[in-house]
Amino acid sequence: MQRGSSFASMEAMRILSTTIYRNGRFSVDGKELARSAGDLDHDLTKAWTAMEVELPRFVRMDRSSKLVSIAAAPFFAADGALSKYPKDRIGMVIMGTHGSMDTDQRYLDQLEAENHASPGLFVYTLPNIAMGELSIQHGLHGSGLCLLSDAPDIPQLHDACDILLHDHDMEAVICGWSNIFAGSAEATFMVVTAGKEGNWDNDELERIFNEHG
Amino acid sequence: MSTDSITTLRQDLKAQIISHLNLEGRTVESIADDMPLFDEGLGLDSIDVLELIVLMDKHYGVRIADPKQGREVFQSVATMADHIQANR
Repeated sequence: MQRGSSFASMEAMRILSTTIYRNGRFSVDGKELARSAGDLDHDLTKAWTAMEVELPRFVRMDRSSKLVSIAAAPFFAADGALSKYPKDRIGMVIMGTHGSMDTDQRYLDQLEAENHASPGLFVYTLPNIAMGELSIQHGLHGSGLCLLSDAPDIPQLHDACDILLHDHDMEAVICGWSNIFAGSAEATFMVVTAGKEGNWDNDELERIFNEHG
Repeated sequence: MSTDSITTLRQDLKAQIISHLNLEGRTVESIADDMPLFDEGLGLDSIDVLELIVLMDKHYGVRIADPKQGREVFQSVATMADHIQANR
């Protein structure tokens, strides 16, 4: 079986919108929304603030959940790519290398320093918790996949989207790469649907997802 | 305990809650003594309850062992302060 070849259906994959967060810069469909050069916590807060979304809980999330929340937020805006899709037909495929290690490390550091760890920190020590945060924020009830990989695997993301769209009856999928560890954060998210006119280009996506700096 | 002492305890408790739960934008003055901690009040959730249990143990040396007791204690800052005052 050739990976990334729509094995579950003959319909093509269509990307409706893309967001990229990398080293303090956040862009939506190529338009820069925020730029910051402080430490990671400052940069994430600045990117979130730029979107003017009311979410008191944001400051209490772990960094991984903040990154995922930022990367997905534009899709849920009034004119966002997901605004017209039913919440129970929106799926998620999120891939990353380090999972929850950023928070795992903070949890261990706190245990060693204070001989106890915050329950509020403990609940974030799972790789898929950020997807749960996103589901709670936006009332999503669709299927989801959390994948770990050394690097963005575009064919595997394609196949995972295909499965959610066709086998799980999703109408749209939030598909992307989210990785945060040791003071560095990057995320590339897309809204993917199925249709006759596809625009999924493995080579182009390899370039976008693996761009650094 | 005098009225001054319970007032001081409540103020200290509010400051600790803001700090421990990272309630950005909240001030001690914005939290009324009898404001509900959950839902339409301060908007805390079930994870925050765990944080409050740790806070009371570490900072005030008061443990909540019985979940039913927690329901009574964590109604407001006033009920938390009363519990601390009676048990430490």
